[in-house]
Amino acid sequence: MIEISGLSKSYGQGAARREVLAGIDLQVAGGELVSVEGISGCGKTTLLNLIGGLDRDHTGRIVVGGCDLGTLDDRGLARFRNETVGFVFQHFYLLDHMTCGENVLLPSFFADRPTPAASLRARAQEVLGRVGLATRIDDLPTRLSGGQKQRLAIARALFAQPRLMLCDEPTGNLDSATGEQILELFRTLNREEGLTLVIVTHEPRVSAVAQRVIRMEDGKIVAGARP
Amino acid sequence: MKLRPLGRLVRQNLRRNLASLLLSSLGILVGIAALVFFLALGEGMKQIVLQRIFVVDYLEVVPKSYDVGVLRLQGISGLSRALDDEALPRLQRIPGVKAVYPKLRFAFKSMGWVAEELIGRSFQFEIFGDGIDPALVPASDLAPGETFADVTHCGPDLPPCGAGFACEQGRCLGAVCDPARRPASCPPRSSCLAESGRCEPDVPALISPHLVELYNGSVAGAFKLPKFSAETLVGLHGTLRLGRSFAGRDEGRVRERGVRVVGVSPAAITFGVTLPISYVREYNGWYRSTAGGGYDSVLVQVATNDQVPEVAAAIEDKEGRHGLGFELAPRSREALQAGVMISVLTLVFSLISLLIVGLSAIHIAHTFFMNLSERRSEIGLLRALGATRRDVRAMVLLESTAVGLGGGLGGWGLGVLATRLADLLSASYLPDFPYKPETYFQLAPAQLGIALAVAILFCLLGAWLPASRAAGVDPAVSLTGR
Repeated sequence: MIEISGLSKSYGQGAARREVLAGIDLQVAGGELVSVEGISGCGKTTLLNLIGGLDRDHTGRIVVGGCDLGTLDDRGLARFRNETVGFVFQHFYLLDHMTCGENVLLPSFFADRPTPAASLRARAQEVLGRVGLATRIDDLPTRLSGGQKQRLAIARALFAQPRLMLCDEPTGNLDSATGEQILELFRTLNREEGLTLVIVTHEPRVSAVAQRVIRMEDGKIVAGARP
Repeated sequence: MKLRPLGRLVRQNLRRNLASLLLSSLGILVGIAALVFFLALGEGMKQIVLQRIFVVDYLEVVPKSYDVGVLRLQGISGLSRALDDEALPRLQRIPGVKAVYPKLRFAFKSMGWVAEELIGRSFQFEIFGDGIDPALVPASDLAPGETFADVTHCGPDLPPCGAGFACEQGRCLGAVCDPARRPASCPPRSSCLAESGRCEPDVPALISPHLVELYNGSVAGAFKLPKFSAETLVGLHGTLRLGRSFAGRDEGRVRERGVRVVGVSPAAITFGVTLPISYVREYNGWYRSTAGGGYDSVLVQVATNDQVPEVAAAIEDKEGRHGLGFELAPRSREALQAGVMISVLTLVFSLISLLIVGLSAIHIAHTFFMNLSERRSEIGLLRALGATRRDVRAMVLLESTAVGLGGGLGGWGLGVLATRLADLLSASYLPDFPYKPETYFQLAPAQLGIALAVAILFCLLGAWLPASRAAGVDPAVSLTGR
C-alpha cells in the first residue's frame, strides 16, 4: 500500500536548515494497522503529511496505492487526497456551522464524479451508522461529546471509501475510556473492511492495538520499517 | 469542483458570516447608491437640458460673423457665404445630416394684439417672429384638427380654400365684413381684415414651449397672472399688425393679419410667433425690396447625438471638403457646451462614487483577510478533503461576488429611493421655476447593469489578494502545524 524510499525532508535554508526526515525507507502492506511512535519533533507528523499528500516538498520517492506522489500536480494530489486517503486529526476539524450529515458529505463536494443527492444522504447515513452516530445526522457538531466528534471525523474520513486512513494523534484529545472506544473502532474498520491504517501517536495504548509499531528517532526509522 | 457544491459551500459560508459581510458591504451599498443617483441625474439633466431647453440634435446655422471693434457684424457681403438655396443642398450633404430647414426672421416691425379672452382684458405688445419650413413641425406638436401649412395663395394647382371662402385673385376671400365690429361676423378660424374688408383665413402660428415655461415660471408668479398650459393656448386668436411698433414710426403701410395658435412646438422662436415660411417670405417682400434669396438661418437636423460634434465642425470649416464656413447660432453653441458640461459633471460625480466604492473595496479586502485568517484551519481541512488551490480561490471569489451582488442590488434600491426622495422634496419645497421638471432623473436598465458590474468588480478586486492567500494555505501547516 505504501512504499517509501530515500525520503528526506528539511525546513529552512543555510545555517537555519533543519532536517526532519533523513533518508527514510518504509513499506506498509494493504490492510495493515501500523502505529508510528516517537518523541515530539522526531518527524512522525511530517511523515504522515507526506504520505497523505498534504506536504509535497521532499526528496525521495513516495508511492501510495500505486500512485507516485512526486509526479502529481496540485489537482492530481487533491484528487488523491479525495479518493485514496482519509484523514483523522487530533483536533477533529469539524465545521460547526454545518450539521453532522453535511460535515460527513464534505469530501463529496470535491469529487470529480457527481452523485445524486439521495445517494449522498444514504451514504452519509451509512457511515454515521458505522461509527454509532446514525441518529445525529441533523445535529450540529457543537452538541456532540469529544468522543462523538472524533467518531464524526472518522465518518467523514470514511465517506469516500478510502483505502488508507491516516490518523494524527486521534486519541490525544480524549479521555482514556473514549480513546479506547475510538481505538476499538479503528480495529473493527481494519478487521472488517480491510482498511489500511497508519496512526501517529505517542501513547503506548495505541501501539498496543497496532499490528506493527514503527519507531522514529531524529528523523529516522529505528524499528519496524518493514512488515 | 462542480458549481453546485461550490454554491452550496459558499451559501453556508455566507450565512455563517452574514453580519460581518453585511457590514463590510455597506460601503459598496452607499457607493453604488451614489453612482446610480448621479448617473440617473446626469441622464435626466441631459434629457431636460438637451431635449427641452437646448435641442441639441438641431443645429442652427447662421452666416459667419466678424468682430469689428465692439461690433459684431454678420453676413457681410463678399466676406460671408450666404445662406441661400444653393447652400441648403451643401449642408444636406454633410455626413450625419438628416435634414435641413431654412428659417426667415420678420424683416419688419410688428405688434401683436390679443382680445380679452386670454387674461380678461385686451392687450398689445411688440412681437418678433420668424418663418420655418412646415416639415420641421411634427404632427404631435399640433392640436388635433389643426394644420401648419404654407397656404398664402390659392389657384388651380393649389389646395381648395375651404368652406365659406372663394379663390379670388390668388387669395382665399370670404364674405364682406366690418373690421370695426367686435366680435367680427367671420366664420371660425378666420378674421375680418381691414385691407380687403373681407373675411380671410387666419395665419397658422406656433409658440414655443420655452415661452410658456418662462411665462409660467417667472412672469405669471411675479405679476399674479394666470398660468397657461399648452392646451389652453392652442386656438388662441390674435391680430398681427405688420409695420407697426411701439418704438418709432410706422414702417410703410401697416397691414393686419389674423393669426391663430395651432400648436406649441420646440421648433418655434422662443420669444414671438412662428409662421410657415412662405407667409414670412411674402411679408418680408412687402417691407424689404432686397429680401429675396437668402435665409437668416438654417436648422440642420443631425441623425444621432453622437454625430453632432462632427457635423458642427463641418459646418464651420471653410477650407474642408464641404467648404461651408458658416457658424453656429449662439443657442446651438450653448447646447453643445451644455452637453459637454453635463457629461463632465456626470463623469466627476461618477468618479467620486467610484472612489467611495473603491474605498469600500479596501474594506472588503480587510474583512476577507480577517475572515480567512480565522478560517485558516477550515481551508486546510478542505484542501485535505480534496479541494485544489483553484477551488479555494473560486470559493472566496464567489463569496465576494455574492457580497458585490447584494451590495449592488441594495445600492441600486437605495439610489432609486434617493432619486424619488429628491423629486419629492423638489416638488414639495422648491418654488416653480422655468423648466422645473417632475423628475430630475432618468433611470435605465443599463444603469442597473453598470451598478451590479461595478459592485461585483470592486468586490472581486478587494477579495483577490485574500483569495490568493487562502489558495496558498499549506494544509500541512494549518492542520498539524508542520
